[in-house]
Amino acid sequence: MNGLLKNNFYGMIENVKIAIVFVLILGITLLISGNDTILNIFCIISTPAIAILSLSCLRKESASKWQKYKLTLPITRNAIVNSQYISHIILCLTTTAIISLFIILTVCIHGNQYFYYGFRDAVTLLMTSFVLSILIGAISYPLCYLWGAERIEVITVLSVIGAVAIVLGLSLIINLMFDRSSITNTIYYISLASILVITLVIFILSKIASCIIFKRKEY
Amino acid sequence: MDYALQLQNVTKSFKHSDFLLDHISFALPKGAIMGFVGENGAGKTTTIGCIMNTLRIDSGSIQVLGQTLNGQNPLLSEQIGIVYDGDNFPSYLTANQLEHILQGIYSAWDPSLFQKFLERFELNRTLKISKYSKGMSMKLAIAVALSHHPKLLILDEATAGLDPVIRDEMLDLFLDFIEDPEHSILLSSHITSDLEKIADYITFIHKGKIILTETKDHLIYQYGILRCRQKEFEQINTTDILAYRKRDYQIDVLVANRHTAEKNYKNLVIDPATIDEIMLLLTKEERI
Amino acid sequence: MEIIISNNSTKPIYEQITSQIKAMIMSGELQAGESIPSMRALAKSIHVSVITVQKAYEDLQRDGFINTTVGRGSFVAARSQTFYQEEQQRMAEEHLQIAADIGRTCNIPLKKLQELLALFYEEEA
Repeated sequence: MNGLLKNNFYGMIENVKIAIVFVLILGITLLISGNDTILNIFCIISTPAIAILSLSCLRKESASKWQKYKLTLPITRNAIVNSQYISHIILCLTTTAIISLFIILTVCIHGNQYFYYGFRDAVTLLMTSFVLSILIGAISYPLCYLWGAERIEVITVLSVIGAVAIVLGLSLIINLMFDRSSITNTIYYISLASILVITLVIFILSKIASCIIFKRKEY
Repeated sequence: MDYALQLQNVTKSFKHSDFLLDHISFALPKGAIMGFVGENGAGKTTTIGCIMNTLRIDSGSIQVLGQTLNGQNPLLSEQIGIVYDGDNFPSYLTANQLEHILQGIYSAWDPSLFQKFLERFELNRTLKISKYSKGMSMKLAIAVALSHHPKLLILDEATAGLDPVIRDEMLDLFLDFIEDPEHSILLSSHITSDLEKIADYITFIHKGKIILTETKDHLIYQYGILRCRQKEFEQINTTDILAYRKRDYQIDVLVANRHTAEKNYKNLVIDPATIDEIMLLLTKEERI
Repeated sequence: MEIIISNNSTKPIYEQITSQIKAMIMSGELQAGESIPSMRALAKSIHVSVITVQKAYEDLQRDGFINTTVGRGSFVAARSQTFYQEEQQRMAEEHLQIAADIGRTCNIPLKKLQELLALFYEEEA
């Protein structure tokens, strides 16, 4: 498992190198300018963008015989799938943590001019971006196993659309369940938490689906 | 006898193609090198896929080192080294990174042995594999395959496209490997000159079927090619003819025993058989 | 132990190995009781398949020149001088047989062959 995780990270880092630089530049710009549009963009886009880029390493892997070679290693097919999901979640968590750090620093430097509801809004922003990147992975991986990593562009587009749709859909349902004015902080946080839990459940179901698809795959 | 590899009546079909592995049977004894010969598309890579469990077989059985590779026994995979033709590894990795990955997967990974290979092959640890030449890629793949101390080495067209100097080095390595009588090699190739040097056994595959499996010495020293004209051809006993091929001015006939043929057909030209010619004769459809 | 293999010779490689080792033993280059390389080590050094060397060693064992024991390797067998003389005579017989066959099929009279043999024998003297 150890080796597989290293394998996934080497691949991801290779692809996201440039993106990380952009994110850092954007982050530093944010720290300096304190511009609220930049803050919103920075928050929402960064983690999903990195998640999307990390997927393109799947195509590079499939350009060589590495997928086939991995099957000859002393590991189970499930371990290969599991390691991909684990790497994905670690990547998303790490990126979100870094983004959070920038946000905190920005607020420290420029004061809180951004969040109408204060802490709650900040958490919403960060959680949305985390949830989006997890869902992008949850939709992409099984499709990659099904259709092959050569179709990664189409798959990525579909997964972004799907992820946004799921998040919007869940928010809509929650908004419908509660009358606007009666939403307390507690209810709000509970709904955020439920979206997170649902996302993680989808992620795990996706892993199970990928395992099943991969078991039948031939190289 | 102990076998490193045993295939019995292995059949595999593909959904969207006519191609079929048809009741493949052959066995590689321990301590031996077997050349696996066949034209492009004959089924060599498919057979190796079935052995390595990257392809599922429809029926039959495959025993590797006495056990079956079914995805549930990673310990068996530890004992097999594989080298595929072309790019085995992702191009963005370096040899160093590759070692980090494999060290965390193979329990018997030997870093000092890997280092020795890198030095012997003059491979740069920190150079990305995308910058490697074809020869360097192959050397890296062989270094990797040998560095986890496998008992069985399987090479799928691994020496294709390499110059004779590198191929000779590889053959040296294989003979090194086989010095241990517990080690065995399956070498699929159509560079028959390599096989003629070091193979103990040769198995011919054609259109998904095994058409011959024999000791190499037997093929080289017993088999023969009779070259004759049409009239003389008609005089030859049909039981002696394994296969024949009509060419412009002569007919080539494959016989199983050159020495008795020399006695029986005194006036005819009889040459020793090369693996290439045996393959040509067996694969052209005019067989008895 | 230096063995030279010719790939282009009509003589099979295992025969080349056998005759060279026999020659070395008979000339005293390899002494009785001396060990010779294991089959696999020899296969590696002269770049031939193991099974070829195996056949050569089996032939040497069958002809009484070496003894191979599992676990200990191969050693030159201790033989009397008469044994080697018999072997050399056997080699001469083989060549004479070939000459006789050619003579018969090409209608060379026996007397002529005998003359030639005497000529060649005395040449070296």
